[in-house]
Amino acid sequence: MRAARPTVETKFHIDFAWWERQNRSPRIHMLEYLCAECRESLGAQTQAVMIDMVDPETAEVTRVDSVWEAIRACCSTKPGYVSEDTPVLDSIFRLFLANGNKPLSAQELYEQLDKRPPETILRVLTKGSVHLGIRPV
Amino acid sequence: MAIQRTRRTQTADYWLKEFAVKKDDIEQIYEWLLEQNQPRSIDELTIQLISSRCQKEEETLLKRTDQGSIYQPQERFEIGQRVVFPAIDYSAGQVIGVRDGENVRYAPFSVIQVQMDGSDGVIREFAMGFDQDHVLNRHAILAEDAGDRVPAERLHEEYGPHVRDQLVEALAQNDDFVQFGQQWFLRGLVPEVTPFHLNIAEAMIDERGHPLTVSELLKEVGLADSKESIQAYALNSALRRDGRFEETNLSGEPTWYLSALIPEAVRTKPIHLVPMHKAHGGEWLNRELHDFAREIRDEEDDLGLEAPLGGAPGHSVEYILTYPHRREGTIPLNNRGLFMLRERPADRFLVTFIDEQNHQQFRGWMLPGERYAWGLGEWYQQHEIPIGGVVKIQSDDDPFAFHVIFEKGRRRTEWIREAKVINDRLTFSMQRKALVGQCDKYVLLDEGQSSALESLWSGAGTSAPGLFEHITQLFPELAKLSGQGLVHAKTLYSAVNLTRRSSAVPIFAELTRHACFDPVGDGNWVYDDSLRDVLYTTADQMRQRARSRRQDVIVDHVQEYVANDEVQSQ
Repeated sequence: MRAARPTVETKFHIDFAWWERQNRSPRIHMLEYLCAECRESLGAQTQAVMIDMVDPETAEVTRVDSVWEAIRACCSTKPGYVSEDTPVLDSIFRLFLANGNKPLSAQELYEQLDKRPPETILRVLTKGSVHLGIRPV
Repeated sequence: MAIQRTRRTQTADYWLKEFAVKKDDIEQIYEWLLEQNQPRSIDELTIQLISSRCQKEEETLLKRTDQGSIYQPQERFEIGQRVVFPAIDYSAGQVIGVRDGENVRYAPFSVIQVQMDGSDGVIREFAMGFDQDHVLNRHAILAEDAGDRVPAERLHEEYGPHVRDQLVEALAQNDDFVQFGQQWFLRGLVPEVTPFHLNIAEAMIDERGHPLTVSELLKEVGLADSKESIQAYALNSALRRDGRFEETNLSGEPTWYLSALIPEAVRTKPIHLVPMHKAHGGEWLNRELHDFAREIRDEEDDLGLEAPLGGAPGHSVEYILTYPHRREGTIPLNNRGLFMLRERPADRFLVTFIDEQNHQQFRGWMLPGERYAWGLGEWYQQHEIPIGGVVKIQSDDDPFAFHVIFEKGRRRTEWIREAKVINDRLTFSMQRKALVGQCDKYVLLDEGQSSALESLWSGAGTSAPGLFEHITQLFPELAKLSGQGLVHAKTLYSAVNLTRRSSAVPIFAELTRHACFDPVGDGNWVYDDSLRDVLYTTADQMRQRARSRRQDVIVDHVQEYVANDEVQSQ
């Protein structure tokens, strides 16, 4: 049976298994998003260090890479993390990192990013191959 | 499990995507109506349903909080202790382990491992002794915290239509419920209305000769002991099911009349009044024709919104009688006419007409939505009001009474156009006729034998020739009467309306845009058959009339016909 065609209501997230299959490290990608402060403290870490990330809404604890934790707890709260100049796909990836990879639909991404109409966001996410591991849940 | 910061019933997703009427909802509505013991509107039932769903959710949440300590990150918990997590849909679980937290960003804290209730028994971890600024430390989400909850009435405003539609469908399929208008009630609580009761109602209306409210009917139609509102509900429902009765007031308290007493012309719009051609806005008219259209004020040329209610007692309007209204005994109600109405209790309602001359009163009907009033047929005959007669209607102190006035003056004899049907064609001749009263001399026509005219009548939707074709047939017939081949635009309007209903603007628009018609002054037009295939397509062409072969053609501005007297000149 073929999967249903995604709509603006279909939820997307970062599929970290995709990164593994591609033999790529999301960590390398995430390092680019660190703020100056965090880059200084974490930039020297060559290997992943797992630490506890406390969810800002539920206080649920998850074990995540320290770089992602820094992005979520610090860098994403600073101005310029997602700016007008940030490309749409990059903005979506940054948003998922900041919200703990909670699934969001194209409609919800539009409401939070206010960059492109939901239909355009959907097209960006579904056109051609998978980008940055962002796939339907 | 979805993380939930607010109650499900407070979200749009719940009402717009998840909601479906369940058996419990219907039972709850049943019990509520039983308790209320009186009919309730569908909106009230919808609010009740929404409120009940919210209440049930609260009860569920309260039950869950009994299952353990409420989780807050700053608190401490022991292994074996049960904990409830309000921020995760009030899930509960048991602490099965504790470890140190690892994150230098925060002061030292611990992590509890919780085996969540449910078949999967998944283990999740939560911060403990976490003294940071966290939303759950500031404010635990408690079932008792009702302060932020949106009241059912507000939820109804936002999501009511969606819920209401489903509720109506469910109630309509359930024999325990009955509906009258927007009111719903329990069938078992509605007192029985027998044929005897309905016969009394019929006799009452017949005797009084005007519509009665259900409260008036109940004074003599004695129903079984119950609240008056329930009796009214029962009687209304029964009257609606009985073909002898007709509801005449649809907006306020229902009033009932006998179907047999409602004239056919009130029940259904007469065919002579159903327009075959009417103004739609945007038609191009030369300035003189535009003025004529505003003067005639055909009700089918009114664009935009209907006039509001308003005119004070004594407010009056005049209209020029045309064949369709004369034949049907009706008054055209353009926006000026509608403005006379101070009350509009129903789509159609009874009024009294008072003959200003002899103070004779007679019953009529107002149908504002249909833009006519009915009941002047005999009066037109009695006063010999011709096509073209100018009639005045004036509001009385009583909002449902109107004076009808025709300034008669002395009887006189004039040459007027008389319509005749010869070989299935409408023709005209000049005849000397005795006349009384004020008339518009251009609209003035004698209809001759109306039965012959009727054989030529083209109703809306029939396969009659188009308006232009029709005008080109009529024009030469009228032109021959003048000697110079002139036809006044208003005469053409009057003549067209002998065999089909058309407002003035479409007729005048045909004159303006076709090169075969030319204005030659004083409202008169001439016809050149050799140009019948030439059409002016721009305002400038219509103004210049460059194809005209006449020296006396009038170059006049053309204006677009729009609502509210606003015109654009070219």
